[in-house]
Amino acid sequence: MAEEPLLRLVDVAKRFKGARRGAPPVQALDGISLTLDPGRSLGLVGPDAGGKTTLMRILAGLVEADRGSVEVMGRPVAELDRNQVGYMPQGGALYGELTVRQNLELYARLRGVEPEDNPDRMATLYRATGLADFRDRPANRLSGGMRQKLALACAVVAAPPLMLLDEPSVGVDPVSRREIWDLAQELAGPHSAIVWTTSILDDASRCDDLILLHQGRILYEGAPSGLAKVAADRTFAAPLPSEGRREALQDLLERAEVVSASMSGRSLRAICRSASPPPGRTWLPAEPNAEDGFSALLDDGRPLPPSVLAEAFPPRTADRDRPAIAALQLTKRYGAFTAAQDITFTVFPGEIFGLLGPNGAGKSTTFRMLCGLVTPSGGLGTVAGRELTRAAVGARAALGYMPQKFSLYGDLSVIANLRFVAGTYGLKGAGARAAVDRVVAALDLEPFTAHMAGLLPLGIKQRLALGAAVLHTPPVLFLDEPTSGVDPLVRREFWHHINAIAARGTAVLVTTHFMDEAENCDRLLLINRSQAIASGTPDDLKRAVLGNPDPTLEQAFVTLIEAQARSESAAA
Amino acid sequence: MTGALTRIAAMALKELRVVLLDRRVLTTLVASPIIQLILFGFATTLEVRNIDIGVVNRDAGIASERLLSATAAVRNVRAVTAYPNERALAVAIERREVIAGLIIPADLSARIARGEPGQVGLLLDGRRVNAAQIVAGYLGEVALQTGTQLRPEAAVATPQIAARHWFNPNLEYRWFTLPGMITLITTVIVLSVSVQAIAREREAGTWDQLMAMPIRSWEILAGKCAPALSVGLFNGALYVLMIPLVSDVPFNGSLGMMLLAVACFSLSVTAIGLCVSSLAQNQQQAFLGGFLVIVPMMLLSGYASPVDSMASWLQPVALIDPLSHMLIICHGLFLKAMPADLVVRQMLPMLAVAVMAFGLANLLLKWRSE
Repeated sequence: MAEEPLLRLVDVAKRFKGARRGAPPVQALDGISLTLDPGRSLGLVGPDAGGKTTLMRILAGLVEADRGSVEVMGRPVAELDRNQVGYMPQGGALYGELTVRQNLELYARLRGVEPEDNPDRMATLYRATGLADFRDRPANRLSGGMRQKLALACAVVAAPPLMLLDEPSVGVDPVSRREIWDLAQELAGPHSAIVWTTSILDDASRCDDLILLHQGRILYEGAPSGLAKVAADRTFAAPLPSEGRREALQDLLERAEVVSASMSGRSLRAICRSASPPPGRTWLPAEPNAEDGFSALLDDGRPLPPSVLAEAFPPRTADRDRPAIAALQLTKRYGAFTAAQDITFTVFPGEIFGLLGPNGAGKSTTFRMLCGLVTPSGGLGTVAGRELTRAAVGARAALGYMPQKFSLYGDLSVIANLRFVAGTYGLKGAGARAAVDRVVAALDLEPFTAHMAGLLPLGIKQRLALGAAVLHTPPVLFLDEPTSGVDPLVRREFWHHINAIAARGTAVLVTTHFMDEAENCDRLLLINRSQAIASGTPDDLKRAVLGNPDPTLEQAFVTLIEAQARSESAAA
Repeated sequence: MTGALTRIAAMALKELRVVLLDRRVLTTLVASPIIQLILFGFATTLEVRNIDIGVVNRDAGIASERLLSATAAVRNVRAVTAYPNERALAVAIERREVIAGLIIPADLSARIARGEPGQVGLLLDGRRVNAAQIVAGYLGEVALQTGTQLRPEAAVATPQIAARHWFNPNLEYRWFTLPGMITLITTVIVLSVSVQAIAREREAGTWDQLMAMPIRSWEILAGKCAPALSVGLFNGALYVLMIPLVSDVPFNGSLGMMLLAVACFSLSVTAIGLCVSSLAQNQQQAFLGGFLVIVPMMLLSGYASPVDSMASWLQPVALIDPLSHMLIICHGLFLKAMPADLVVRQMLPMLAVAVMAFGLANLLLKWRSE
């Protein structure tokens, strides 16, 4: 059994026709060969629109390859027994109106597993997902992490030999992300193989093997540690200055000799194009990780240009000491359930303020109260000095909002979406055209302008959504998980833009599940179970971790959340 | 104010792209009214044609012979079939082989010869009320004429009625139905487009983004009128041009007034659709909600049964139904050259409905937003 590979692909290619007549066809996959043995896990990574999802759909038998052979369990994929494959499409395939239990039992029956006859399997599913207490909750009212766990459980109800999971951990907090990985391992059969696509290299590093797809070709194949080695001798770390952290990072990113840079713990990390560190600081060689290798491998050799997006923002220097965003004991109750309680914070112009917390903690509710999408049950929220109720149309013009879920028009092209958004913000004629062109150029949307927004890869959708939020160069920017589903290189660019926009005097409120990104924030508020449990600069939060001289923000995050859980159970 | 115009224009353009640039939707919106025009125009006739009549004839004399040949000669009678007895005739009516049965007694000719009044029995299929009434009318007329021919001396000198049908000299039903179709089909198409307007955004999750933008709810609604309004105008104009081309129905009124009326009418139906859409959480609810309003609107319009014949408490309700006014305008402008002031008098209530429905939609939208 173990001798025969589960998957064998030889020279597979797939080409899609262009977005409109006359447009060149898109080579989604080009000469892909791979094998996967039972019991192994394979991580598929790569830049947005790199061909990951197309490959998954070919493996699941949903798309036919133009060329090459695809064998699943020793037989051509066309003869595939669908019961042998657990396929979880991007975003899952749940019925929002059905409850957790109804979804799970529906998928079980569809896969020939009668729930009554398999109580053990069902019990395992409930226990492993932690959804036992939410059996009767409709799927569309679950938090992001729970929804992904349920979707995963539905896909692999029957413990199939082959599990194809397309972005199972997108938009999920670090704790839940680890749980989803463990869940996949636990729900797999003893000889099941897992194919897992992700834009998070940290997740992919947990797999046995890793494949990096770029423009339809395999750029790297092998162990995750091997990918990290690509950046060996070229990764350096220097102490992070206590003042001007963002400026230091910004400066580093725009240097010709630097591929990518980030903040981690108390140090600044840089991946360079050669084995010599950038000048200026006291650099020491550092251990590269898979993400560093990814960046080094995909380096296009061009230095990151200064943010064109930010240059359009007028410098806002007045009223720097008057809060641009203020939340005063914001509270939202839905019946007996409190989604957010007494959330208080202020954000000043030019500041980046991060809301952190697990899925379902109340971040988005707080966000939506400030945007005027949800009426608070108590407390007060002001944006640009005005209360954002529905009537305050003028106040809404001061706001750029990027929702967590892609909320632009799927049946319109990228360019039509941007034009529409420009119009709703009162931009017209040449001004609107200039704004749209600027966003298209700055976010590399040029190849996609004619594409239907709904059919874009996840990462491109996020770029479009960010572009739509900053078209009108607002003084206040709300970004709800702007980088979820975006590949590491583009994440770096996103933050490059966000930092530069803040530097022009815009107040930025952001939520993220990436703790290395949270390092970019001036101040953070950690929300858990509807309550603010910690606030301060990244360094303030890290002080909560005792006995570690250089903790990462992720360690601080986990420590603080566990501390709250302990004190609550002690109180109860 | 220019800001509001820019926003409305952006919304209208976006709506037109979403609704009209989808090739499948466009095909449906253009092809279906043409197909419906043909089907409705030629299938829905209130005229009773192709009548089949059964006879149980026990009289061998001249009276029955004259009566039957006169019956068979009526234009809309297709066949007169003889049955041996009442039982066979009853079965034939039951099986819908015939709509009416004449029972001619054995002494009919003899009685008439004696100068006594003759009697003939008539059975009608009451399941087909309207048709049965018309057939009874035809047969009564035939019996009266036959009697007069047989015994001219017994004919009562009644005043001669010289009937002349104004506006529709040959009483062609198509002259009534086809102009009415403009109203009905435009309603269906405009409503089915406009009820989706808000519901589509809610279902797709785009509503949130829209709510965070500086666009007022009435501006959203105004922009969202665009697709339904243009579809209504297109179809209305298409019908006005097509009907005189494909049929013998004349168009006597002013084309400009007609198009203006179509615009007012589409606007009022669009606004009603937006009300429904403001309440719906998803497209399925919107579709069913549209169904909920469209049927009463059609029933109250006066197309199927005249408003004057409705229950007296219903008649004022029919006044707020834009369909009832549009039907008057359609018939008025097609069959007679309805003067502009009378057309305007019918347009005003439609506009009033449009304004009120628009205001209601705006209120519902604000109320439903949370």
